[in-house]
Amino acid sequence: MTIQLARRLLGAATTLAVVSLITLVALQATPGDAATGMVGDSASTMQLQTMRAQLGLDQPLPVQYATYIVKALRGDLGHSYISNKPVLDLMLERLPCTIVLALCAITLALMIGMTMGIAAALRAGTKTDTLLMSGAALGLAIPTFWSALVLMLIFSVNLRVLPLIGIDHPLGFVLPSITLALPTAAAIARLMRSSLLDVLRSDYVRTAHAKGLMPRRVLTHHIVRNSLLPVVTMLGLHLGHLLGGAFIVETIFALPGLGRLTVQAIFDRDYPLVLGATLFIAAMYVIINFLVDLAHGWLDPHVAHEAI
Amino acid sequence: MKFYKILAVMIAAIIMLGCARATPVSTSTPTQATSSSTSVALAKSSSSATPNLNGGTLVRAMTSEPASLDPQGAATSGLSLVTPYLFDTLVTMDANKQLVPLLAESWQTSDDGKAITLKLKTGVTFQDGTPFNAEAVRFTFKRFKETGTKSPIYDGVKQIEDIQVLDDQSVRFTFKEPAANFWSTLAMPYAGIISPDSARKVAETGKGNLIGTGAFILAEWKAGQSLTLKRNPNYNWGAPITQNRAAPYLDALVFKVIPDATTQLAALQTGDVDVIFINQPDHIAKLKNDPNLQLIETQLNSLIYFAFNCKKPPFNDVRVRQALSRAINKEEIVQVALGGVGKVANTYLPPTLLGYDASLKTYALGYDPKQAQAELKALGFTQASSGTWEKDGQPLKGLLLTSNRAPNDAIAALIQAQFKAIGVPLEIQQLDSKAVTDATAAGKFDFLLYRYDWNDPDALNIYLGSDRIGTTNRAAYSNPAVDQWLAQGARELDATKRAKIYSEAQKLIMQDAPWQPLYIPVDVMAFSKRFDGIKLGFMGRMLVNDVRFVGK
Repeated sequence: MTIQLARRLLGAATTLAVVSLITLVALQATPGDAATGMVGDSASTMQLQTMRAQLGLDQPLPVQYATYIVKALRGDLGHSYISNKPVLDLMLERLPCTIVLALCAITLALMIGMTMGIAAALRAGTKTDTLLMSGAALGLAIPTFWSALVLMLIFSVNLRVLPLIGIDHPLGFVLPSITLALPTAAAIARLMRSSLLDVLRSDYVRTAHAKGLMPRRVLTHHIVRNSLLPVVTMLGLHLGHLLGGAFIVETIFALPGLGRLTVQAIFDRDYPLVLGATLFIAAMYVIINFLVDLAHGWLDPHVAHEAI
Repeated sequence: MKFYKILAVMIAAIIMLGCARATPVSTSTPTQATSSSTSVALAKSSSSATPNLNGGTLVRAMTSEPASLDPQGAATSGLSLVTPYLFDTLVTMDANKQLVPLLAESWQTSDDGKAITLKLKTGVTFQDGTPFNAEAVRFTFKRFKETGTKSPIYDGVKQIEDIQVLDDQSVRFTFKEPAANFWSTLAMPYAGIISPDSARKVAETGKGNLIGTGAFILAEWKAGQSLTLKRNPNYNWGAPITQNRAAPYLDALVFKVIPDATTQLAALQTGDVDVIFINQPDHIAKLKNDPNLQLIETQLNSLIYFAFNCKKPPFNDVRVRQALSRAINKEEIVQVALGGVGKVANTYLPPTLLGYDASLKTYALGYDPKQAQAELKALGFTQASSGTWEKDGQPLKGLLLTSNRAPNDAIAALIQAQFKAIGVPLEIQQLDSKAVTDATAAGKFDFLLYRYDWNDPDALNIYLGSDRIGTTNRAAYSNPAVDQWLAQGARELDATKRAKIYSEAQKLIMQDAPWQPLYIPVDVMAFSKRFDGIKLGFMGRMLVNDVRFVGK
């Protein structure tokens, strides 16, 4: 157990180190740096060089990386080039908004996706099935920025029943959550349907029916529970899509979340902030997937012994 | 079973939450659009007490928030939008670009042009209660010279050799050379006067905000969401650019951060915001017929231009540049890409700047594709049966670089079509502005579609002067004779003489054709008719001192 845990922690640390290195290299490869943006369109070469030196951008890449890692290990993610505030403070300030958005979206996606998936599987081959699965295909195909605008137009501009932007009103999260949930819900619906169909055809379900269990009990205890396994795995991996979607959704709905902060940081070439945000997202990924493994153990006792 | 129960409870909870919250919103929205709650409350309470006179909260959308509210800091987007309401400058400009007093009452330039003495207004106080005086002016510009390296007007401020406090209300700036662009530097929002007391506090604690003498006081800043400014009740030193020179009628001015242009448009329609700035032609068309909105147009001190990479063959040959310049149909660009909202430019300075000379049009290279082809032929280019040109085995083609600011994509596509019509294929590359800056500094382009915004004819020096090659002189254009004129222009304090100098400089530049000037952008601001009296000042600044809430 302890060895397993240590192995996982080592894996997580390696992941984070690799992620930060790739991010830094990618940022360096992107044309334009923070100094260019900060001194503006009319700056002289002198002004630009002074700024680069101030930011440490004139240092070679390995030096920049080493400096960053040493500081990060001490819990110092550096200061934003642009606002000069600590990166950690900036991220913590924006985190609650993104967490609320992500939780609402996950909940909605699970509810919509599972209902659709179960309904489609139980009526496999009927018109309902075709209709539901076409809906799911559409949900996957429609880009987030488009569905965001359509929802906005219908519910905020025309019907005026939901607020358009911001988090002043608790209902401000409704449209962004729906927008963000749609593709994930569609993916869950499709996976849930196929996984449920597999389980429905399995031997132990037939046995359960044969030994005279109530059909509802078979559905909840044997079928749904077992078909959830792949869905939970997918959910862990889908977190990335969700955070990526949050970048777009937060920008369109003007939500002050981590996604928008990161987008702005990328445009500003604010390296410390981009690095901090990427590391944070990577860490979330590692943690969530760890939780997913734990959930597996709960859903399927077979796995429990191997988990962790 | 357990799972189903949890699911059912979750669904029920969400439905209940939705119903409970949905009711008040749906009933309140039809009467008063979903403006921020404070805005509605303030507007209503005050309009019932003193109808149509005071109060109201004007909400303006902004694309991104400034990183800090230090006027001398990096000009992050939004900084010049907010600071003019918080910090007054010594002088400002009226709509005709004439210098008008703000914190300075009057001024005098010495005979040799190397000293400027300003007499300051009396009875002005900073929002922190400390008095505004000559020492504050000295402190502000001393701080600027020491720490303002990120500011776009740093080069202008750097010219100051010394600042002397003559008495409590007089201050003298001295220079090594006469500095003609110093007045436009002083009028920029970045040159706002700072309370020395507040600057010391910020420096010591690393917290808080700088304080100015502006008509509004910063009340609240919600990171990533909004900045709320409350009226400064003590204000009575406004510039003669609005009728009301005392405290504003508005209770508050709010800047709401809305990054997406389409969302801004929707927010204006729903009443979430009252003012937006538009630069997408299709958005203008959408709002034109809305009876609740009013649109005002303003010409900025800006120019959109098509530049050649003057270092790179064959565009280092002035004759090739002249020939290709004739391929561009500016009228079509304004009509098609801009929906008619813009003004064709013929010279290198916009009409709103000193030095603009309409008579220079004779030097402009007008649209004439046949002439362009004839000139290419005369230069030894041969045309293949496919229509493309080549010389010495080198095909005539190029990379058109531009930034991803709207409507550059539409313009670039039109230019591509216009070049194709004479047989020159273009490849378009659209990058964000920082990447464009890098690419142009490295010379990685053939043609550039870009813009400048500057409130002084010194723009020609910044964007075309030889010593700016590698940075802002993106075309890498160099002509020593032009450099001489531009240096002379920077020192000439007599406006008539200075205008003549820039006219002469443009004459030379236009014959060298490093750019084909395309058009002067017309910026459009859309605002709700719930407010009356919004005016646009110089550089498109929204003047709100006369604004009254008229409600609806």
